[in-house]
Amino acid sequence: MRVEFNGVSLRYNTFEALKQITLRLEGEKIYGLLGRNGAGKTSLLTLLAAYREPTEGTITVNGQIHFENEKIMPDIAFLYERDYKEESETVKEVLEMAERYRPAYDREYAEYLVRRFKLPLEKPVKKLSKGMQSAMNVTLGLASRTAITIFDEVYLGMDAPTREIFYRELLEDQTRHPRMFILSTHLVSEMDHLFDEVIILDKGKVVVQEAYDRLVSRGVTVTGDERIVDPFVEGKKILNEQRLGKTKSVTLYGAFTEEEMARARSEGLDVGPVSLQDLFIFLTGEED
Amino acid sequence: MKQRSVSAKIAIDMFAVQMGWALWYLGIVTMIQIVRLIFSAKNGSRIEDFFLSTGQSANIFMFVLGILAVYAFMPAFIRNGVTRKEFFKGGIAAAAGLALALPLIAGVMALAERSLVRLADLPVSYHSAGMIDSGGDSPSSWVRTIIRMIIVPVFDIPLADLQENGLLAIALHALNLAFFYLSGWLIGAGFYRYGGPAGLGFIVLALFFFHLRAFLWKKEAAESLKQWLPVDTFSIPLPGFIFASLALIFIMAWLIRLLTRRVAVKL
Repeated sequence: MRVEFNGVSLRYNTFEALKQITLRLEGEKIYGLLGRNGAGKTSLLTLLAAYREPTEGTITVNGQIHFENEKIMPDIAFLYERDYKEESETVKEVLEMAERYRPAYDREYAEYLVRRFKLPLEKPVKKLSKGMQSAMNVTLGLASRTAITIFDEVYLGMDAPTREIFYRELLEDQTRHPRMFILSTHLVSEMDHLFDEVIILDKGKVVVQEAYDRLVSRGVTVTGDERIVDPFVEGKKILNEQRLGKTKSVTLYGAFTEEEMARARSEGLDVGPVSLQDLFIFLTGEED
Repeated sequence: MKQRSVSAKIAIDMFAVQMGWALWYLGIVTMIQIVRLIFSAKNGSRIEDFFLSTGQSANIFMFVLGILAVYAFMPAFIRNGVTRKEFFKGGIAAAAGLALALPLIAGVMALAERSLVRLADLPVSYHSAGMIDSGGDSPSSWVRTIIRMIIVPVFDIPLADLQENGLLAIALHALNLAFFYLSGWLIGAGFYRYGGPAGLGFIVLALFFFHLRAFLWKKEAAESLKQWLPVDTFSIPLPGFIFASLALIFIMAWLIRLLTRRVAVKL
Protein backbone atom coordinates (compact mmCIF):
# COMPACT_ATOMS: atom_id res chain seq x y z
CA MET A 1 0.00 0.00 0.00
CA ARG A 2 1.14 3.48 -0.85
CA VAL A 3 -0.68 6.51 0.50
CA GLU A 4 0.07 9.97 -0.83
CA PHE A 5 -1.19 13.31 0.39
CA ASN A 6 -0.51 16.04 -2.14
CA GLY A 7 -0.89 19.62 -0.94
CA VAL A 8 -3.86 18.64 1.20
CA SER A 9 -5.70 21.34 3.14
CA LEU A 10 -8.85 21.01 5.17
CA ARG A 11 -10.96 23.94 6.27
CA TYR A 12 -14.01 23.94 8.51
CA ASN A 13 -15.70 27.23 7.64
CA THR A 14 -12.88 29.65 8.34
CA PHE A 15 -10.74 27.40 10.53
CA GLU A 16 -7.89 25.75 8.70
CA ALA A 17 -7.34 22.36 10.34
CA LEU A 18 -4.72 21.12 7.88
CA LYS A 19 -2.41 23.26 5.84
CA GLN A 20 -0.83 22.03 2.63
CA ILE A 21 0.05 18.57 3.87
CA THR A 22 2.31 16.53 1.65
CA LEU A 23 2.99 13.06 2.94
CA ARG A 24 3.88 9.66 1.66
CA LEU A 25 3.19 6.49 3.63
CA GLU A 26 4.45 3.33 2.16
CA GLY A 27 4.80 -0.32 2.95
CA GLU A 28 3.74 -2.55 5.79
CA LYS A 29 4.81 -0.34 8.63
CA ILE A 30 3.44 0.91 11.90
CA TYR A 31 3.23 4.67 11.78
CA GLY A 32 2.99 6.75 14.91
CA LEU A 33 1.07 9.98 14.44
CA LEU A 34 1.83 12.49 17.16
CA GLY A 35 0.60 15.97 17.77
CA ARG A 36 -0.74 18.14 20.53
CA ASN A 37 -4.44 18.66 21.07
CA GLY A 38 -5.91 20.41 18.04
CA ALA A 39 -2.84 19.76 15.87
CA GLY A 40 -5.05 18.15 13.21
CA LYS A 41 -4.43 14.43 13.84
CA THR A 42 -8.06 13.36 13.70
CA SER A 43 -8.70 15.63 10.72
CA LEU A 44 -5.86 13.98 8.86
CA LEU A 45 -7.13 10.52 9.76
CA THR A 46 -10.73 11.23 8.72
CA LEU A 47 -9.37 12.25 5.33
CA LEU A 48 -7.31 9.10 5.05
CA ALA A 49 -10.36 7.05 6.03
CA ALA A 50 -12.40 8.82 3.31
CA TYR A 51 -14.90 10.04 5.88
CA ARG A 52 -14.64 13.40 4.18
CA GLU A 53 -12.91 15.04 1.24
CA PRO A 54 -10.10 17.58 1.54
CA THR A 55 -10.86 21.21 0.75
CA GLU A 56 -7.75 21.31 -1.40
CA GLY A 57 -5.24 18.84 -2.74
CA THR A 58 -5.49 15.13 -3.48
CA ILE A 59 -5.13 11.90 -1.55
CA THR A 60 -4.32 8.72 -3.40
CA VAL A 61 -3.91 5.11 -2.37
CA ASN A 62 -1.78 3.07 -4.76
CA GLY A 63 -2.05 5.95 -7.21
CA GLN A 64 -5.85 6.12 -7.23
CA ILE A 65 -8.13 8.65 -5.56
CA HIS A 66 -9.52 6.64 -2.68
CA PHE A 67 -12.65 8.68 -1.84
CA GLU A 68 -15.73 6.64 -2.85
CA ASN A 69 -13.45 4.07 -4.47
CA GLU A 70 -15.16 0.69 -4.14
CA LYS A 71 -11.90 -1.16 -4.56
CA ILE A 72 -10.04 0.71 -1.84
CA MET A 73 -12.56 1.66 0.84
CA PRO A 74 -13.19 -1.90 2.10
CA ASP A 75 -9.47 -2.08 2.80
CA ILE A 76 -9.28 0.95 5.07
CA ALA A 77 -10.51 0.75 8.65
CA PHE A 78 -10.70 3.73 10.96
CA LEU A 79 -11.29 3.10 14.65
CA TYR A 80 -11.71 5.97 17.07
CA GLU A 81 -13.20 6.81 20.45
CA ARG A 82 -16.83 6.86 19.49
CA ASP A 83 -19.80 7.92 21.52
CA TYR A 84 -21.60 4.61 21.88
CA LYS A 85 -24.34 5.73 24.23
CA GLU A 86 -27.02 5.14 21.62
CA GLU A 87 -25.61 1.93 20.21
CA SER A 88 -28.10 -0.74 21.21
CA GLU A 89 -26.52 -3.42 19.04
CA THR A 90 -24.62 -6.15 20.80
CA VAL A 91 -20.89 -6.70 20.45
CA LYS A 92 -21.69 -9.82 18.44
CA GLU A 93 -23.85 -7.91 15.97
CA VAL A 94 -21.20 -5.24 15.50
CA LEU A 95 -18.58 -7.90 14.79
CA GLU A 96 -20.92 -9.74 12.41
CA MET A 97 -21.42 -6.60 10.38
CA ALA A 98 -17.65 -6.20 10.00
CA GLU A 99 -17.41 -9.83 8.96
CA ARG A 100 -20.03 -9.27 6.28
CA TYR A 101 -18.43 -6.19 4.76
CA ARG A 102 -14.71 -6.60 5.38
CA PRO A 103 -13.26 -8.95 2.79
CA ALA A 104 -10.26 -10.06 4.86
CA TYR A 105 -12.07 -10.36 8.21
CA ASP A 106 -10.84 -13.32 10.25
CA ARG A 107 -13.55 -14.72 12.48
CA GLU A 108 -11.32 -17.10 14.41
CA TYR A 109 -8.92 -14.35 15.22
CA ALA A 110 -11.83 -12.12 16.29
CA GLU A 111 -13.06 -14.86 18.61
CA TYR A 112 -9.57 -15.21 20.03
CA LEU A 113 -9.40 -11.46 20.71
CA VAL A 114 -12.87 -11.50 22.27
CA ARG A 115 -11.62 -14.10 24.74
CA ARG A 116 -8.34 -12.26 25.27
CA PHE A 117 -10.14 -9.01 26.14
CA LYS A 118 -12.99 -10.84 27.90
CA LEU A 119 -15.59 -9.06 25.76
CA PRO A 120 -19.21 -9.92 26.56
CA LEU A 121 -20.64 -10.81 23.14
CA GLU A 122 -24.31 -10.56 24.01
CA LYS A 123 -24.13 -7.20 25.76
CA PRO A 124 -25.32 -4.04 23.99
CA VAL A 125 -22.37 -1.84 23.16
CA LYS A 126 -23.83 1.13 25.03
CA LYS A 127 -23.72 -0.87 28.25
CA LEU A 128 -20.03 -1.67 27.99
CA SER A 129 -17.49 0.20 30.08
CA LYS A 130 -15.19 2.63 28.26
CA GLY A 131 -12.38 0.13 28.45
CA MET A 132 -14.51 -2.63 26.96
CA GLN A 133 -15.67 -0.33 24.16
CA SER A 134 -12.02 0.37 23.41
CA ALA A 135 -11.31 -3.36 23.40
CA MET A 136 -14.16 -3.89 20.95
CA ASN A 137 -12.75 -1.22 18.66
CA VAL A 138 -9.33 -2.83 18.81
CA THR A 139 -10.86 -6.24 18.06
CA LEU A 140 -12.73 -4.79 15.07
CA GLY A 141 -9.61 -3.10 13.78
CA LEU A 142 -7.31 -6.08 14.15
CA ALA A 143 -9.72 -8.82 13.01
CA SER A 144 -10.80 -6.88 9.92
CA ARG A 145 -7.22 -7.28 8.65
CA THR A 146 -7.57 -4.27 6.40
CA ALA A 147 -4.51 -3.23 4.40
CA ILE A 148 -4.65 0.15 6.13
CA THR A 149 -5.79 0.20 9.74
CA ILE A 150 -6.08 3.45 11.64
CA PHE A 151 -6.34 3.58 15.41
CA ASP A 152 -7.08 7.07 16.64
CA GLU A 153 -6.55 7.05 20.39
CA VAL A 154 -8.76 3.97 20.73
CA TYR A 155 -6.71 2.74 23.68
CA LEU A 156 -7.56 5.72 25.91
CA GLY A 157 -10.25 3.91 27.84
CA MET A 158 -8.15 0.82 28.48
CA ASP A 159 -6.29 0.19 31.70
CA ALA A 160 -2.55 -0.40 31.54
CA PRO A 161 -2.61 -4.24 31.48
CA THR A 162 -5.23 -4.22 28.68
CA ARG A 163 -3.13 -1.76 26.71
CA GLU A 164 -0.19 -4.15 27.07
CA ILE A 165 -2.32 -6.93 25.57
CA PHE A 166 -3.21 -4.64 22.71
CA TYR A 167 0.42 -3.71 22.00
CA ARG A 168 1.45 -7.36 22.02
CA GLU A 169 -1.41 -8.49 19.77
CA LEU A 170 -0.76 -5.64 17.36
CA LEU A 171 2.89 -6.58 16.98
CA GLU A 172 2.16 -10.29 16.66
CA ASP A 173 -0.55 -9.86 14.08
CA GLN A 174 1.55 -7.37 12.16
CA THR A 175 4.25 -10.05 11.94
CA ARG A 176 1.79 -12.72 10.80
CA HIS A 177 -0.10 -10.48 8.39
CA PRO A 178 2.09 -7.49 7.57
CA ARG A 179 0.05 -4.39 6.81
CA MET A 180 0.00 -0.66 7.41
CA PHE A 181 -1.07 0.66 10.78
CA ILE A 182 -1.41 4.28 11.76
CA LEU A 183 -1.60 4.90 15.48
CA SER A 184 -2.30 8.33 16.80
CA THR A 185 -1.55 8.76 20.45
CA HIS A 186 -0.79 10.92 23.43
CA LEU A 187 0.85 8.02 25.21
CA VAL A 188 4.16 8.66 23.49
CA SER A 189 6.55 7.09 25.93
CA GLU A 190 4.40 4.02 26.30
CA MET A 191 3.95 3.34 22.61
CA ASP A 192 7.15 4.52 21.00
CA HIS A 193 8.54 0.99 20.80
CA LEU A 194 5.74 0.10 18.36
CA PHE A 195 6.58 2.68 15.72
CA ASP A 196 8.57 2.04 12.57
CA GLU A 197 8.06 5.59 11.47
CA VAL A 198 6.88 8.74 13.19
CA ILE A 199 4.85 11.65 11.85
CA ILE A 200 4.53 14.74 14.00
CA LEU A 201 1.84 17.28 13.26
CA ASP A 202 1.85 20.75 14.68
CA LYS A 203 -0.79 23.40 14.02
CA GLY A 204 -2.05 21.63 10.92
CA LYS A 205 1.38 21.03 9.39
CA VAL A 206 3.70 18.07 9.23
CA VAL A 207 6.83 19.01 11.13
CA VAL A 208 8.51 15.61 11.11
CA GLN A 209 8.24 12.42 9.12
CA GLU A 210 11.08 10.10 9.83
CA ALA A 211 11.96 6.52 10.70
CA TYR A 212 11.82 6.06 14.47
CA ASP A 213 15.49 5.08 14.79
CA ARG A 214 16.70 8.04 12.82
CA LEU A 215 14.43 10.40 14.66
CA VAL A 216 15.65 9.39 18.10
CA SER A 217 19.23 9.62 16.91
CA ARG A 218 18.60 13.30 16.28
CA GLY A 219 19.29 13.92 19.88
CA VAL A 220 21.50 12.55 22.65
CA THR A 221 21.41 12.32 26.39
CA VAL A 222 24.68 13.05 28.10
CA THR A 223 25.07 11.94 31.70
CA GLY A 224 27.95 12.46 34.06
CA ASP A 225 29.57 14.77 36.60
CA GLU A 226 27.99 18.19 36.43
CA ARG A 227 31.39 19.91 36.14
CA ILE A 228 32.23 17.92 33.03
CA VAL A 229 28.76 17.88 31.51
CA ASP A 230 28.17 21.63 31.69
CA PRO A 231 31.14 22.77 29.59
CA PHE A 232 30.58 19.86 27.25
CA VAL A 233 27.02 20.87 26.33
CA GLU A 234 27.65 24.58 26.24
CA GLY A 235 26.24 26.24 23.13
CA LYS A 236 24.10 23.25 22.24
CA LYS A 237 20.31 23.06 22.09
CA ILE A 238 19.14 21.66 25.40
CA LEU A 239 15.81 19.79 25.49
CA ASN A 240 15.82 18.66 29.07
CA GLU A 241 17.99 18.73 32.16
CA GLN A 242 17.92 16.55 35.24
CA ARG A 243 20.14 16.58 38.26
CA LEU A 244 20.73 14.08 41.02
CA GLY A 245 23.38 15.15 43.50
CA LYS A 246 26.40 15.99 41.42
CA THR A 247 25.26 13.89 38.48
CA LYS A 248 23.59 15.72 35.67
CA SER A 249 21.75 14.38 32.69
CA VAL A 250 21.21 16.70 29.74
CA THR A 251 19.19 15.90 26.65
CA LEU A 252 20.42 17.67 23.54
CA TYR A 253 18.92 18.21 20.14
CA GLY A 254 21.28 17.40 17.30
CA ALA A 255 23.43 14.32 16.85
CA PHE A 256 27.06 14.09 17.98
CA THR A 257 29.88 13.83 15.54
CA GLU A 258 32.23 10.85 15.85
CA GLU A 259 34.79 13.15 17.37
CA GLU A 260 32.40 14.53 19.99
CA MET A 261 31.30 11.01 20.80
CA ALA A 262 34.88 9.90 21.38
CA ARG A 263 35.66 12.98 23.46
CA ALA A 264 32.55 12.40 25.63
CA ARG A 265 33.64 8.85 26.32
CA SER A 266 37.18 9.80 27.10
CA GLU A 267 35.89 12.32 29.63
CA GLY A 268 33.86 9.61 31.30
CA LEU A 269 30.41 10.73 30.14
CA ASP A 270 27.57 8.38 29.32
CA VAL A 271 25.98 9.06 25.93
CA GLY A 272 22.53 7.63 25.28
CA PRO A 273 19.66 8.17 22.89
CA VAL A 274 16.95 10.73 23.38
CA SER A 275 13.37 9.67 24.08
CA LEU A 276 10.69 10.28 21.49
CA GLN A 277 8.66 11.98 24.21
CA ASP A 278 11.40 14.58 24.82
CA LEU A 279 11.79 15.20 21.11
CA PHE A 280 8.04 15.48 20.64
CA ILE A 281 7.72 18.03 23.42
CA PHE A 282 10.67 19.97 22.07
CA LEU A 283 9.37 19.99 18.49
CA THR A 284 5.81 20.97 19.30
CA GLY A 285 5.95 22.56 22.73
CA GLU A 286 6.76 25.98 24.19
CA GLU A 287 5.74 29.04 22.25
CA ASP A 288 1.99 29.01 22.81
CA MET B 1 -19.44 -19.09 -6.13
CA LYS B 2 -19.87 -15.56 -7.36
CA GLN B 3 -19.48 -12.98 -4.65
CA ARG B 4 -22.67 -11.05 -4.08
CA SER B 5 -22.23 -7.34 -4.80
CA VAL B 6 -21.91 -5.06 -1.82
CA SER B 7 -25.02 -3.07 -2.69
CA ALA B 8 -27.04 -6.30 -2.96
CA LYS B 9 -25.83 -7.26 0.53
CA ILE B 10 -26.82 -3.83 1.83
CA ALA B 11 -30.24 -4.14 0.19
CA ILE B 12 -30.81 -7.51 1.86
CA ASP B 13 -29.57 -6.31 5.26
CA MET B 14 -31.55 -3.08 5.24
CA PHE B 15 -34.65 -4.85 4.02
CA ALA B 16 -34.34 -7.45 6.79
CA VAL B 17 -33.86 -4.90 9.58
CA GLN B 18 -36.65 -2.61 8.39
CA MET B 19 -38.98 -5.53 7.73
CA GLY B 20 -38.35 -6.54 11.34
CA TRP B 21 -39.58 -3.12 12.43
CA ALA B 22 -42.48 -3.41 9.96
CA LEU B 23 -43.62 -6.62 11.66
CA TRP B 24 -44.06 -4.65 14.87
CA TYR B 25 -46.02 -2.06 12.98
CA LEU B 26 -48.19 -4.71 11.30
CA GLY B 27 -48.78 -6.37 14.65
CA ILE B 28 -50.04 -3.12 16.12
CA VAL B 29 -52.28 -2.45 13.10
CA THR B 30 -53.67 -5.98 13.46
CA MET B 31 -54.59 -5.37 17.07
CA ILE B 32 -56.21 -2.03 16.27
CA GLN B 33 -58.07 -3.64 13.39
CA ILE B 34 -59.46 -6.35 15.68
CA VAL B 35 -60.71 -3.70 18.10
CA ARG B 36 -62.28 -1.74 15.22
CA LEU B 37 -63.95 -4.89 13.90
CA ILE B 38 -65.49 -5.57 17.29
CA PHE B 39 -66.79 -2.00 17.55
CA SER B 40 -68.12 -2.04 14.02
CA ALA B 41 -69.90 -5.34 14.61
CA LYS B 42 -71.47 -3.87 17.75
CA ASN B 43 -72.59 -0.44 16.64
CA GLY B 44 -72.55 -0.73 12.86
CA SER B 45 -69.98 1.98 12.17
CA ARG B 46 -68.16 1.75 8.87
CA ILE B 47 -64.47 0.90 8.92
CA GLU B 48 -61.65 0.50 6.43
CA ASP B 49 -60.39 -3.00 5.84
CA PHE B 50 -56.81 -3.93 6.71
CA PHE B 51 -55.55 -2.90 3.30
CA LEU B 52 -57.06 0.58 3.29
CA SER B 53 -56.18 1.03 6.92
CA THR B 54 -52.48 0.46 6.26
CA GLY B 55 -52.97 2.50 3.11
CA GLN B 56 -52.99 5.48 5.43
CA SER B 57 -50.89 4.62 8.46
CA ALA B 58 -48.12 2.76 6.63
CA ASN B 59 -47.21 5.99 4.88
CA ILE B 60 -46.28 7.57 8.18
CA PHE B 61 -44.41 4.44 9.18
CA MET B 62 -42.43 4.54 5.93
CA PHE B 63 -41.82 8.27 6.33
CA VAL B 64 -40.22 7.65 9.73
CA LEU B 65 -38.12 4.78 8.35
CA GLY B 66 -36.98 7.12 5.59
CA ILE B 67 -35.87 9.75 8.10
CA LEU B 68 -33.89 7.08 9.93
CA ALA B 69 -32.30 5.71 6.76
CA VAL B 70 -29.40 8.14 6.88
CA TYR B 71 -28.80 8.27 10.62
CA ALA B 72 -29.37 4.63 11.45
CA PHE B 73 -27.61 3.05 8.51
CA MET B 74 -25.34 5.21 6.40
CA PRO B 75 -22.53 5.97 8.87
CA ALA B 76 -22.49 2.36 10.08
CA PHE B 77 -22.01 1.08 6.54
CA ILE B 78 -19.37 3.66 5.69
CA ARG B 79 -17.48 2.75 8.87
CA ASN B 80 -17.35 -0.75 7.43
CA GLY B 81 -15.73 0.39 4.21
CA VAL B 82 -18.86 0.75 2.08
CA THR B 83 -19.06 3.68 -0.33
CA ARG B 84 -21.87 6.23 -0.24
CA LYS B 85 -22.91 5.11 -3.69
CA GLU B 86 -23.21 1.45 -2.71
CA PHE B 87 -25.22 2.48 0.34
CA PHE B 88 -27.53 4.58 -1.81
CA LYS B 89 -28.13 1.77 -4.29
CA GLY B 90 -28.74 -0.77 -1.54
CA GLY B 91 -31.00 1.61 0.38
CA ILE B 92 -33.13 2.34 -2.68
CA ALA B 93 -33.50 -1.37 -3.43
CA ALA B 94 -34.47 -2.09 0.18
CA ALA B 95 -37.03 0.73 0.10
CA ALA B 96 -38.52 -0.63 -3.12
CA GLY B 97 -38.72 -4.07 -1.52
CA LEU B 98 -40.49 -2.68 1.54
CA ALA B 99 -42.88 -0.62 -0.58
CA LEU B 100 -43.91 -3.78 -2.40
CA ALA B 101 -43.88 -6.18 0.53
CA LEU B 102 -46.12 -4.10 2.81
CA PRO B 103 -49.08 -3.76 0.38
CA LEU B 104 -48.80 -7.45 -0.48
CA ILE B 105 -48.89 -8.44 3.18
CA ALA B 106 -51.67 -5.94 3.85
CA GLY B 107 -53.58 -7.37 0.88
CA VAL B 108 -53.32 -10.90 2.20
CA MET B 109 -54.36 -9.70 5.67
CA ALA B 110 -57.37 -7.86 4.20
CA LEU B 111 -58.48 -10.94 2.30
CA ALA B 112 -58.18 -13.01 5.46
CA GLU B 113 -60.06 -10.36 7.41
CA ARG B 114 -62.94 -10.20 4.94
CA SER B 115 -63.19 -13.99 4.74
CA LEU B 116 -63.33 -14.18 8.51
CA VAL B 117 -66.03 -11.52 8.68
CA ARG B 118 -68.00 -13.42 6.04
CA LEU B 119 -67.50 -16.79 7.70
CA ALA B 120 -68.48 -15.51 11.11
CA ASP B 121 -71.30 -13.54 9.50
CA LEU B 122 -70.35 -10.36 11.34
CA PRO B 123 -72.41 -7.24 10.63
CA VAL B 124 -69.40 -5.17 9.57
CA SER B 125 -69.61 -2.61 6.80
CA TYR B 126 -66.57 -1.31 5.01
CA HIS B 127 -65.55 2.00 3.54
CA SER B 128 -64.43 1.93 -0.05
CA ALA B 129 -61.34 3.80 -1.14
CA GLY B 130 -63.31 6.66 -2.70
CA MET B 131 -65.09 7.37 0.58
CA ILE B 132 -62.00 8.27 2.54
CA ASP B 133 -61.93 11.99 2.80
CA SER B 134 -59.99 14.58 4.58
CA GLY B 135 -62.86 16.50 6.09
CA GLY B 136 -64.65 18.18 3.23
CA ASP B 137 -65.45 21.86 3.02
CA SER B 138 -65.13 23.29 6.43
CA PRO B 139 -65.17 27.01 7.06
CA SER B 140 -61.60 28.14 6.66
CA SER B 141 -59.84 29.74 9.53
CA TRP B 142 -56.10 30.12 9.21
CA VAL B 143 -55.49 27.48 11.90
CA ARG B 144 -57.62 25.04 9.95
CA THR B 145 -55.82 25.90 6.77
CA ILE B 146 -52.44 25.24 8.30
CA ILE B 147 -53.58 21.98 9.84
CA ARG B 148 -54.98 20.92 6.51
CA MET B 149 -51.79 21.93 4.79
CA ILE B 150 -49.90 19.44 6.84
CA ILE B 151 -52.52 16.76 7.34
CA VAL B 152 -54.26 16.58 3.98
CA PRO B 153 -51.45 15.32 1.86
CA VAL B 154 -50.64 12.69 4.44
CA PHE B 155 -54.15 11.29 4.80
CA ASP B 156 -55.79 12.25 1.56
CA ILE B 157 -53.80 9.83 -0.42
CA PRO B 158 -54.35 7.93 -3.61
CA LEU B 159 -55.81 4.50 -2.90
CA ALA B 160 -57.90 1.97 -4.74
CA ASP B 161 -59.96 -0.95 -3.50
CA LEU B 162 -58.32 -4.31 -3.52
CA GLN B 163 -61.62 -5.96 -4.46
CA GLU B 164 -62.21 -3.81 -7.50
CA ASN B 165 -58.77 -3.65 -9.04
CA GLY B 166 -56.17 -5.59 -7.10
CA LEU B 167 -53.22 -4.67 -9.26
CA LEU B 168 -54.00 -0.95 -9.24
CA ALA B 169 -54.63 -1.05 -5.49
CA ILE B 170 -51.26 -2.67 -4.81
CA ALA B 171 -49.49 -0.38 -7.26
CA LEU B 172 -50.93 2.83 -5.78
CA HIS B 173 -50.24 1.65 -2.24
CA ALA B 174 -46.65 0.78 -3.16
CA LEU B 175 -46.14 4.11 -4.89
CA ASN B 176 -47.42 5.95 -1.82
CA LEU B 177 -45.06 4.03 0.43
CA ALA B 178 -42.05 4.61 -1.80
CA PHE B 179 -42.94 8.28 -2.03
CA PHE B 180 -43.20 8.68 1.75
CA TYR B 181 -40.04 6.71 2.45
CA LEU B 182 -38.06 8.86 0.04
CA SER B 183 -39.48 12.10 1.38
CA GLY B 184 -38.37 11.02 4.86
CA TRP B 185 -34.96 10.06 3.53
CA LEU B 186 -34.70 13.45 1.82
CA ILE B 187 -35.35 15.23 5.13
CA GLY B 188 -32.89 12.98 6.96
CA ALA B 189 -30.23 13.57 4.31
CA GLY B 190 -30.79 17.33 4.45
CA PHE B 191 -30.42 17.37 8.23
CA TYR B 192 -27.40 15.09 8.20
CA ARG B 193 -25.62 17.25 5.68
CA TYR B 194 -26.59 20.78 6.74
CA GLY B 195 -27.71 20.41 10.37
CA GLY B 196 -30.46 22.29 12.19
CA PRO B 197 -31.81 25.45 10.56
CA ALA B 198 -30.99 24.55 6.96
CA GLY B 199 -32.36 21.06 7.59
CA LEU B 200 -35.76 22.61 8.31
CA GLY B 201 -35.75 23.77 4.72
CA PHE B 202 -35.91 20.14 3.67
CA ILE B 203 -39.11 19.66 5.68
CA VAL B 204 -40.60 22.51 3.67
CA LEU B 205 -39.32 20.89 0.49
CA ALA B 206 -40.89 17.55 1.46
CA LEU B 207 -44.18 19.30 2.26
CA PHE B 208 -44.04 20.85 -1.17
CA PHE B 209 -43.68 17.38 -2.72
CA PHE B 210 -46.57 16.07 -0.58
CA HIS B 211 -48.85 18.80 -1.78
CA LEU B 212 -47.79 18.64 -5.36
CA ARG B 213 -48.64 14.96 -5.45
CA ALA B 214 -51.93 15.44 -3.60
CA PHE B 215 -52.96 18.12 -6.08
CA LEU B 216 -52.14 15.84 -8.96
CA TRP B 217 -54.26 13.10 -7.41
CA LYS B 218 -57.41 15.05 -6.83
CA LYS B 219 -58.31 18.63 -6.97
CA GLU B 220 -60.27 18.60 -3.74
CA ALA B 221 -56.99 18.20 -1.95
CA ALA B 222 -56.10 21.68 -3.03
CA GLU B 223 -59.43 23.35 -2.36
CA SER B 224 -58.54 24.75 1.02
CA LEU B 225 -55.33 26.23 -0.32
CA LYS B 226 -56.95 27.65 -3.39
CA GLN B 227 -56.66 31.21 -2.19
CA TRP B 228 -52.86 30.91 -2.10
CA LEU B 229 -52.37 29.15 -5.39
CA PRO B 230 -51.34 31.06 -8.47
CA VAL B 231 -53.13 28.58 -10.74
CA ASP B 232 -56.52 26.98 -10.65
CA THR B 233 -56.63 23.49 -9.17
CA PHE B 234 -56.63 20.62 -11.60
CA SER B 235 -56.27 16.87 -11.63
CA ILE B 236 -54.82 14.53 -14.19
CA PRO B 237 -55.96 11.08 -15.36
CA LEU B 238 -54.71 8.00 -13.53
CA PRO B 239 -51.93 6.86 -15.92
CA GLY B 240 -50.62 10.41 -15.89
CA PHE B 241 -50.74 10.43 -12.10
CA ILE B 242 -48.81 7.17 -11.84
CA PHE B 243 -46.21 8.50 -14.23
CA ALA B 244 -46.01 11.78 -12.30
CA SER B 245 -45.62 9.86 -9.01
CA LEU B 246 -42.74 7.87 -10.44
CA ALA B 247 -41.20 11.08 -11.70
CA LEU B 248 -41.47 12.68 -8.24
CA ILE B 249 -39.93 9.60 -6.63
CA PHE B 250 -37.11 9.75 -9.14
CA ILE B 251 -36.51 13.45 -8.48
CA MET B 252 -36.39 12.88 -4.73
CA ALA B 253 -33.98 9.97 -5.15
CA TRP B 254 -31.77 12.17 -7.28
CA LEU B 255 -31.81 14.94 -4.66
CA ILE B 256 -30.91 12.43 -1.94
CA ARG B 257 -28.00 11.21 -4.00
CA LEU B 258 -26.81 14.78 -4.58
CA LEU B 259 -26.98 15.47 -0.85
CA THR B 260 -25.11 12.33 0.19
CA ARG B 261 -22.74 11.78 -2.74
CA ARG B 262 -19.78 13.40 -1.01
CA VAL B 263 -21.21 13.96 2.46
CA ALA B 264 -18.78 13.99 5.39
CA VAL B 265 -19.38 11.24 7.92
CA LYS B 266 -19.75 12.59 11.44
CA LEU B 267 -17.45 11.09 14.04
